[in-house]
Amino acid sequence: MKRMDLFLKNSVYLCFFLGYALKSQADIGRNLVYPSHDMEIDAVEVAKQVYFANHFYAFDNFSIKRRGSTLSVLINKSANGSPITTAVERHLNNNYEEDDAIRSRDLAIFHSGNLRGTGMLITEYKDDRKSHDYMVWLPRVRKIRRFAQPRQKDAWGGSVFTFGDVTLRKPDDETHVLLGKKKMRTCLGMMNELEGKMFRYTERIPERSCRHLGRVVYGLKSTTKSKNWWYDYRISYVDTESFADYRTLYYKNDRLIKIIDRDWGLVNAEGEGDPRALFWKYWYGIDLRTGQQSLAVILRKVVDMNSDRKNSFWTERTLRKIKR
Amino acid sequence: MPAATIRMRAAHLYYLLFGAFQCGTVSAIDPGYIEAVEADVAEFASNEFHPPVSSGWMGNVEDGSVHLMDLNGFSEYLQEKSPGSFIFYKNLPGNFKERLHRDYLATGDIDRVKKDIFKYTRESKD
Repeated sequence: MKRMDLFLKNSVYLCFFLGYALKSQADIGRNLVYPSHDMEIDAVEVAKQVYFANHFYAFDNFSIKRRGSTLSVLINKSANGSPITTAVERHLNNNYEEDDAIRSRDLAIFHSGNLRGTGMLITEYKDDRKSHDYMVWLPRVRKIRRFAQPRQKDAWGGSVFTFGDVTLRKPDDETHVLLGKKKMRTCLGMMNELEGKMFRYTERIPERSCRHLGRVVYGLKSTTKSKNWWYDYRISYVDTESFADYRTLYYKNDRLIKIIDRDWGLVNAEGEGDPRALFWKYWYGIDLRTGQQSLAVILRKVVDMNSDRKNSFWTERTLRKIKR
Repeated sequence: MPAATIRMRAAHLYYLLFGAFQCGTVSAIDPGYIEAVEADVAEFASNEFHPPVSSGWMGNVEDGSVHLMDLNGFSEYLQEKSPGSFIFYKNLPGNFKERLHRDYLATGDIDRVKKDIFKYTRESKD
């Protein structure tokens, strides 16, 4: 029984893999306007724009799909352990009518490990008082079960990333201060022992990203409003044009305790369209207290957006169709 | 003590030490990365950047990495990563090179850049 509980719990946690847009506020929806260049931007506005980019609101739908044997992966590595890999496919739909109660639906299907064949459908409603629906397809019992929403500080898929980091934290949960602008000086982090190496599902692990060196970024200091929280404040590096948050540093008692680096790619390189139409290329995280590292890798070839899929794809029926 | 036993003990000691060293290497957090990150964030407060000595995380040409924000840095990077494609790239007109550079900075997709090099090579010949 315990084993099954753990299995179910892990299913819920891992479903957030590459976690998208599931919690939002009335004023941070798909209608959030890109600030004009002559506008003086404040810290709260920067935080909202970061939220918009991280929740893929620029797209009607966004998929991280399977392409042959290529998939996105989450790799976790404890201080002395071997890397543990989970491969997953994800589909997000933001395309619901104004008068529809649903804001978005997110479907995840797992392709490796104990969770192989497990599917999850998460529904977010426009009414913020209403909690999310979590439906999990359990291949062993061939049934759908419902779950409660996890807490923000819970680890996401056993990784360094928390649910708050990935999706649940809202701009209103923190107070924000701008530290100014400067150039990005350092490359983004990467698991040293895997960097550039061949790897199952992703073909090859990317090398550390230095593309953003020299980009002008805002320093955004965000202090949590929660008491006795696992961090006191965090400092994010936010691109002044695309609002991609390349790096977040977490502090407790003024000591650096955790780092999360995100490599972003722009969907439209020709400079047309919304500058916030971005996709994640990889996430790297390290917890300096435990030495645990996590890496999520998403190859461009598995990313697809604004496809012709009908809304009926994001229903229980698709969950039931998942092969055992 | 027989010489064979001494040799065996020495071998065991070596393997133990080597194993511990290997284990330490795998588990250790890269101190260079942490130093670089802390130097980077300190600039918000001091407005001055003091880079750590000889770090592979700073993107300096002297340290083996490159400045991808400028076209020359990108060209060097491409030559290193894909010498075959670079042969075609170096013969392209400047505007195509700039386009490839812009595209790489936006997407970070080196495979796409390689495909575009051949596409632009054909276009520039037409």
